[in-house]
Amino acid sequence: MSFSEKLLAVVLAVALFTGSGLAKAQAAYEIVSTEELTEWMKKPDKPYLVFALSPIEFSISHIPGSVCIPLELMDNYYKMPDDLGKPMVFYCHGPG
Amino acid sequence: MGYIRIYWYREGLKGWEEAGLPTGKTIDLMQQEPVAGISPQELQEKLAGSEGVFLLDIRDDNSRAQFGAIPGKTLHYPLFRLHKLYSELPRNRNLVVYDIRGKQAPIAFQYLLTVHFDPAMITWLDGGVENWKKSGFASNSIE
Repeated sequence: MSFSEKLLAVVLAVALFTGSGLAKAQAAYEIVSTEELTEWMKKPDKPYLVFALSPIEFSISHIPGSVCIPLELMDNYYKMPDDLGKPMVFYCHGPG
Repeated sequence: MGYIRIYWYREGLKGWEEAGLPTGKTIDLMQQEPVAGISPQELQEKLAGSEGVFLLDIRDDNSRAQFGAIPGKTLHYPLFRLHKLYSELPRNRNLVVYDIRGKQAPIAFQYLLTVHFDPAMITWLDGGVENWKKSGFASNSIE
């Protein structure tokens, strides 16, 4: 399983257990492009951008404005946003 | 968890950097040569020798269960906790860092050099446990 596949599994796990039956029936996540993300990060409703690998990897390189929440510790002792409607964007190293 | 607006930035850091966008960092890795890892054959020789080599497995529990472990004296310090726990690691032992496919082990190796581990005492396994198994060496299953 690559990093991206592992991250996708986490994205699905975060998204699937919604309280809304309608949301369950829809796609659990959407893909966001580089262009969309850069524009979105400039706006007031910018998303919660999460780097899902280790703090060591985050310390070496990360997208400004993002936070590091290792996927192994997600919703464990790393606090997640209380607002379930807050848009959340997950990323890792990318393909390869 | 209940979040209803979930997005995946699939292009990741690679796509971000390729677009020429700025990145942040809070550490400068110490670049020291040699940074190449060792082969499964070289690891087998080390484990069979008298150097007292310890394996440093930086995978999480799920990955250990899924891919198995290399037989030998092993310290298990997942990469996502290594920044907090590296001070527990022995600096007077030969350590061989390994992961699943050799993607994160060189990062851990470089980090340990940066926090002043002796480059003569640590190295990493090229291709990880998958390369070890492909090379015909046995692995242990982890419960």
